[in-house]
Amino acid sequence: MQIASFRVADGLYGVPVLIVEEFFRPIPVTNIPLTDSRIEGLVHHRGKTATVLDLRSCLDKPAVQVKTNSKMILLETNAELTPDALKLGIESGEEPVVLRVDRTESIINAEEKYIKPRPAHIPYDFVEGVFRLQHSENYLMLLNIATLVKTILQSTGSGVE
Amino acid sequence: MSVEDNTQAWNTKFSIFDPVITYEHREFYEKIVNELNGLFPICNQGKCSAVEISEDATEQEQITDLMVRVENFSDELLEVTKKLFDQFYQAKEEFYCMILSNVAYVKINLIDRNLLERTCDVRWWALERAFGDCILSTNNTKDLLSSLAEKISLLSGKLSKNLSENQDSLPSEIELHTLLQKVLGYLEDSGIKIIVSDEICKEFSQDILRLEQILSASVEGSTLSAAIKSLLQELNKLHAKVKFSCQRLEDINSSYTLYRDLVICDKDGFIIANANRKARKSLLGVNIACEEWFTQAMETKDGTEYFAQDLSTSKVEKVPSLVYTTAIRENSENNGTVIGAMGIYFDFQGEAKIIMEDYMPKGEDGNIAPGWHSLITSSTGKIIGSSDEAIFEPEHLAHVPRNHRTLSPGEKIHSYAMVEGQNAAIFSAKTDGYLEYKGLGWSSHVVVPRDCIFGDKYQAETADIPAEKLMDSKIIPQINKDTYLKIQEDKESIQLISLNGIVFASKLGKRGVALGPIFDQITKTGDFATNRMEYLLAEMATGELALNLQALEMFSKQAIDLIDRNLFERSADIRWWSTDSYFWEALQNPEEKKFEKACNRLKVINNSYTMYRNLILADGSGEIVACSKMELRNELKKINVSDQEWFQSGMRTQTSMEYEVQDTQKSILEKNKERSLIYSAGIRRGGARKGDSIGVLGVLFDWDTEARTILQNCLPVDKDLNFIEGCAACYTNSQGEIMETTDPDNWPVGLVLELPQKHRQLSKGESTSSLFILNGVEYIMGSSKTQGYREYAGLSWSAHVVRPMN
Repeated sequence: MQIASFRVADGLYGVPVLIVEEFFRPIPVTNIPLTDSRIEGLVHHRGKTATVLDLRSCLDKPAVQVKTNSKMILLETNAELTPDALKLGIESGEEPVVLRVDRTESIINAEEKYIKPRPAHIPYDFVEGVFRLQHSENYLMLLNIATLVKTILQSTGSGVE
Repeated sequence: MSVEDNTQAWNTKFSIFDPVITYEHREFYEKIVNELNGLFPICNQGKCSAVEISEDATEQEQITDLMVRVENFSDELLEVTKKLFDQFYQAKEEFYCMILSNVAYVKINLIDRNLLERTCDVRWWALERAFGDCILSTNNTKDLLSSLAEKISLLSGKLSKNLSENQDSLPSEIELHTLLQKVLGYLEDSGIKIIVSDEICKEFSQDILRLEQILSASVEGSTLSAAIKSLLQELNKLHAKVKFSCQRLEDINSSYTLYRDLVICDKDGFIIANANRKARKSLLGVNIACEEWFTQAMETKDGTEYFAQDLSTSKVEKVPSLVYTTAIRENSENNGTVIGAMGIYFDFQGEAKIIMEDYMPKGEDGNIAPGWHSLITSSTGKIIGSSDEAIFEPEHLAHVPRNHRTLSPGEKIHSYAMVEGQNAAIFSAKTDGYLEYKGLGWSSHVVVPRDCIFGDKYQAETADIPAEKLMDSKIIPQINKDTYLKIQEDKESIQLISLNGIVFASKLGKRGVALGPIFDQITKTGDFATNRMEYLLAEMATGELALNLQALEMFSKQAIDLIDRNLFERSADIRWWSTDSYFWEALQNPEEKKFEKACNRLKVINNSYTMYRNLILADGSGEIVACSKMELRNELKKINVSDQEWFQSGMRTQTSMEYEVQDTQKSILEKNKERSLIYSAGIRRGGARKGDSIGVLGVLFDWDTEARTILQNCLPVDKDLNFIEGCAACYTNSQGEIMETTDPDNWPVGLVLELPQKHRQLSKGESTSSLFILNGVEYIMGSSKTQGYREYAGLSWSAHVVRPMN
């Protein structure tokens, strides 16, 4: 499986490439009052209005004032997933979602057998598993977008058409 | 010496093929360009693959679009790469130009500041009563000698006639005639030899008395006798005055060692007193009336005027002389009749040697680094000072490019030329004088091997500051920051295109496999090129930092040099004034009238030397008996200074060559001042050069005003000569305690700086620089330790100039 990797604070995270629609530079976000603090707001990109999830907030990392290198990742909705993605059991949300990350990294090829389940000390349900990078001591944490979207969007009850 | 006048314009664009571009950088450039050029065939391959892997026009378009975007970014990066090298070399060039133009200017400015003091010296010393007295007495004696010469000439004429008409002359008549001729011989040149030489005067006295004896019976004898008697009396008095004048000149010279000789001339241009003992015998009685300095001095309108004679030959010295001169006036009055002149011979060659060596990098052998030269040219373009006389020969025209020879006052210029078969950069600056001293039209030139500007041979040690932090700091020029940002942005763009490309290829499933390596290669190339460029920018930023540090070192050296030179003058002042007759007379005969005279004298001195806040005379028990600021006299009278360090050390001096000075400190003499800098010297009975002190002269230098003015002139400026915000300069004593500052808020007087070790451990005359943090603010700091000046050893002080990072 190909994993698109990115950094949030000091951690390396990833999502399956097949769930990514596009990586892009940050665009202006419209704040939505009274929503979960993990929701940064809404953006309009490629004709879609998407909810921006700030992964720093999701991972309880301190916010940074100047997000010079930060990037946005537009994810496919469930309806947009390719058959290959579905075959791999990849799930997303029903609504368009954008992830705000600190920095994009490379595309990593990971054999599924090497992806280990989430260790118990990681308190986030949306971390699906961990994968040790080749020739490195570093681990990548694979995110489960469906869980993440469910945790956040359903807890606030919001959803965008 | 050979210089090819093929000057090149400065700030031209640097082609990568310019010989100054280092081999490493050229290789760097070629690698980046090769990699980026390699992207174009890959993109073409991508476009072809698009047709192969998909029949869908939208998909094909998407792939082609990605490839076109990659091509565009490659093109942009190629452009940036070219600009980057140009920027890199221009930045180095600009910075060196700033530093070395300043070095050329500082050298001429140091000389001007020095020579301004000389113009004050000559005007002040010409007021010395002893010199006026001596000249008046000489002029009177010369009148007596002339009238005597006339009389004797008449007698001799008559006798010659008798002797030629009368064949049978008596032996006594022949003897008389011979004697008359001999006496007339003494009286040649208005009898100057009798006036200046004790020995000749003795011989003359014997002969003239013998003449008087012979003629005593005759009518002529009786008229001569009276004239001879008064003449001999006058001569005795005059000899004492000549001797005293020579002594006073010696005293001045032993305090102010930067003169080779000081001479006093009478109205006819005869030297009647001088300071240099070795030259005295051959010099006294020499006529210099035809020398320009003498005629110009005699034409000065009042005591405020002086004349500076540019380096030229003089009968006084074998080497070319730089003479400062003014008239000596009757009764030492400003508008008095001109009765003679004083000429002071500055040790220019000695001064030039110091200046030529200063600010030049030294090789391992301690000599100035190869290819580096420093020279001073006169207004006519002739070399008058040279760091290497074999290459730039004194008294020859300096072979520097034409535009370097025709500068306007204060102008700085730089260009490239071939010097001694070597590509060199020449930096020149012409004097614009200092304060009221207009200078003599001299120029300073610094010659530097061209590769030193672009190589890393002459760079300060850089502090360990990461490039990213530097790029964020104010030290790096905006243009470099912009390039850095542009490269970062392009790097990101290529990365995003690649990532999106791979995402796109993945979604095509097996069809997309062919695109994978293409995007991998794009990522690799993009990373390689941008990483290289970032590395180069980091090198550039480090280079900028090194040059900034070097500039701060130079400014701090300038600051310590200027204060050293200033304090050298103060150490000379105190030694000379302590021999003044008003002071020892007042202490020997302690009467109010004498104290008042001493006060007046101190006041006159203080009015001429405004860099002092007060001049104080204390007797042997520490009671203050006179001061220059009359309004403070009553208050100061109540103070006893016997427990004060300056007084005690002044009392301990044993010769008029000694003086004492301590670090700046709080003084009971100046209650309203945080710090005082007091120079002191002992006063000796009868103004003797050696012996116990009978009191002390203490002079309170206006430290804060003078030191701050100097520091303010040593603050860094940008290329438009505006001060850079947040910069500061300060002096510290040997304990690192700030003694004066340009920024009392952040760098207050009294603050003890915890300086980095290499700053604390500087040796005499050394400079260093590094990062320094004060109150959480990061600065880069250049420091220089005193090297003293001539016999003034300095007080182990240091100067520091800082520039904030942000």
